[in-house]
Amino acid sequence: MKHVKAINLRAQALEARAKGELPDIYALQMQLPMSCSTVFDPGWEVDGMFGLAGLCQPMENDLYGCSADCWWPAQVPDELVNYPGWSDQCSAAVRDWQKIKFIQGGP
Amino acid sequence: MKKRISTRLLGIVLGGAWALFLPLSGLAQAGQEWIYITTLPNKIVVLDGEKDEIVREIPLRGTPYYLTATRDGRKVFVITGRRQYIDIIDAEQGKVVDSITLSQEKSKARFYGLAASPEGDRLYINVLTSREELDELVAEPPYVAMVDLKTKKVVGTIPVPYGIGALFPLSQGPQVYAFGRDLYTLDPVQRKIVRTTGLAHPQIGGEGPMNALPFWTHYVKDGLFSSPYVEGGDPVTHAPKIGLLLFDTVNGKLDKIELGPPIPIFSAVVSPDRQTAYGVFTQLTVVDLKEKRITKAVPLQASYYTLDVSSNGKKLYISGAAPEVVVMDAGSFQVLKTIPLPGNTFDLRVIPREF
Repeated sequence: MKHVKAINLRAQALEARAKGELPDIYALQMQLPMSCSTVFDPGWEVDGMFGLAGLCQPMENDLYGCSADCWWPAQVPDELVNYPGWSDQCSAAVRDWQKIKFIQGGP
Repeated sequence: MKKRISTRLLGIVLGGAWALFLPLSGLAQAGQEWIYITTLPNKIVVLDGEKDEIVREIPLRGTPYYLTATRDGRKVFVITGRRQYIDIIDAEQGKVVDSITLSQEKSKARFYGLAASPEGDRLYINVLTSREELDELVAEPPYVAMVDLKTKKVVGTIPVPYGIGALFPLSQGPQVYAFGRDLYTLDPVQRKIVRTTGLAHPQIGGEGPMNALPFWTHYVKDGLFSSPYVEGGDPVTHAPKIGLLLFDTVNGKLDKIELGPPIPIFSAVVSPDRQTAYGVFTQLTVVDLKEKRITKAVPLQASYYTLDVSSNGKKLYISGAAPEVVVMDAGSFQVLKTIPLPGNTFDLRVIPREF
């Protein structure tokens, strides 16, 4: 690795961050136990207390709360940037979840 | 004959007057407040606060997020269009009459938190901008934009930290408060933060950092704004505790009530008489603000993000997430009505009609 040299701005920033010259990026939320909104645990599986009481019930109700603002971009489509309107055919997820569209490939 | 004509004429005149009066009387008898609910995929549903019935559906340009209004309820503002637009609704006409965006072709400005000035002439918007460069997106420093509502122009900006989700002005102004990881007092004249009240970064020794979710920040006019917090870093016990932040929108005083071990509260609202706070998520949690303790927990049929209270304090409106709104008696905590809505919801606000 000693022969690899950062030549563009992003690589230089990564290098500087690794050396501690730049502040690390930290998550907006802290690891505190108050439902899935304030933890970066899987969220839909367990809450911050490793239980179920802090989860949305039923899960379908929270689907768009998770996608519309990119709270969980790995689990649900990122509606704010890449997949706007993916849920338009299914506005009430708990009633007509069969109409939810699948998304394919990357943005 | 003359008398018969007169009677007939009188009947026609009275009938016409009655026909004219009907729509007016309908308006006059309608609730003194409307409940606005942002609903997927692209509309606001409006309930009449008297009958608790849907009276309007207002189409928007896209998914609606959070909303606020002028103090008289004449204008309603809603963040929509991938957070890049604020649609302005004329409450009387019940339709979108204007919109604001700060995005440009290579620069996307998204809105997280908005508030109207007490005079209703200015909008404060927390703006996060990403600029498209040749090979990367550059996040620009966040700021609060002050937008003149007559010209729709930005008349000033105030630099703020990341993480702000809500703005609210004092009832008489001029300060505006920005609620995020900490609570920031903004001075629109000096255009800078003049005070930081530590929440995530406590300034008092022995206090652990507090985490609060700065969304669904509802409060009655000239009332207390409340938000649940979790304090997780007690230096001695390390035991997490939940409580309520209480912010007086008249004098700017911040207080907090500790409630004990964490319970599911997503957002909260305080009654107009300032005696009771209601927290909501999978249950409705009732807090006596005088005794500073939880007095009741009412199980709910689903989880809800948010709630608001009627201006007379007698009814609670609960929604957010679920495609429905629950109307609950704030005395008996009986569900008065569950109204199905066209889609999942985000925000709900009780907005007085003073026009």
